[in-house]
Amino acid sequence: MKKLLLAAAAVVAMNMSHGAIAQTGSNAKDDIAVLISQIQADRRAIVLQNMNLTAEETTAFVPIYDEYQAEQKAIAKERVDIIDKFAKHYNMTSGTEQMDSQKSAEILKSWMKLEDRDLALTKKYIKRYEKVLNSTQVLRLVQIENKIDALMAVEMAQMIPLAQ
Amino acid sequence: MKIVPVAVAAAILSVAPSLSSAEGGVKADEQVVLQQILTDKRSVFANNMGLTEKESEAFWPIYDQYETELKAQDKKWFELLNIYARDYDTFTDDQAVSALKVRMQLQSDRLALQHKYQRKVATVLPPKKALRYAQIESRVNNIIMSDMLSIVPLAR
Repeated sequence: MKKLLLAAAAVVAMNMSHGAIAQTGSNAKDDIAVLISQIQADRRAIVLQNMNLTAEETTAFVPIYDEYQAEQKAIAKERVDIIDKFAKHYNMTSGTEQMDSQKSAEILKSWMKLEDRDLALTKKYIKRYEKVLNSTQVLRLVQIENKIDALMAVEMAQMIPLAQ
Repeated sequence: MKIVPVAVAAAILSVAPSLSSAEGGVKADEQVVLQQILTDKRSVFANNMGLTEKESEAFWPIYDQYETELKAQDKKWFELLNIYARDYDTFTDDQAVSALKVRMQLQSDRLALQHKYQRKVATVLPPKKALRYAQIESRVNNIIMSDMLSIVPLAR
């Protein structure tokens, strides 16, 4: 565990300044969009593969999960839009310091709002899952989703440079 | 681009025995790990925030307050993990109801705490540095969560 944390700290420190956006400009937005879209597609397969549901449970669960994914896709799209704004802001060579600061504050505010919405969406769907799955299965689903989200967030962060 | 989903699948599929086979649950390493996290985190911020002396004076007391509150939350996470590890083989549906409730509350509390301090930091640093703080905090937190979740087996 200690080794993992030290490695993690090193990874964080090493990736602080040079993200994909800084290196490739607006292409990074496309890379992130592809990454999100790829994970969204694979997420369904990973979830179904690891939930060990019966045929009957799968029939009840999948339509709800698909609705969840559709709503989550909308949030993911907004996430890409914020990253796009950040990329434009980051690469902007002209403009006043005040504009930069204003944009940074806006980006931070939008990001926090999006994180709140993401968590609210998860909570909303937990209530729906509880109607068709037992509590252990719902807990397992939340665990799988959290693992995917955490790994995705780590991967995505490496593509975004820190505000300068 | 294929690396991440494959890594995700591998991570999920390979975690089953981790926590249940850890003798004495996760409590034994708790203090050491938490201290290590706090020490490492502080140096990551110190090395990457690029603060002036005046900004440092305003920033670090807020950072330390945040870490104190976060530590209290982490303690609750570890309590939940210890119950989960202790009872993993016999975990009941009723326990799952309770674990899920606590887990979601902890997630809400953690996000609220992060946002509360991101706002506080924004009152003492220029917006670009406040955004930078939020990014670093988010990165460190995601890596820690990812590590922590990787040792927890899926409910069955």
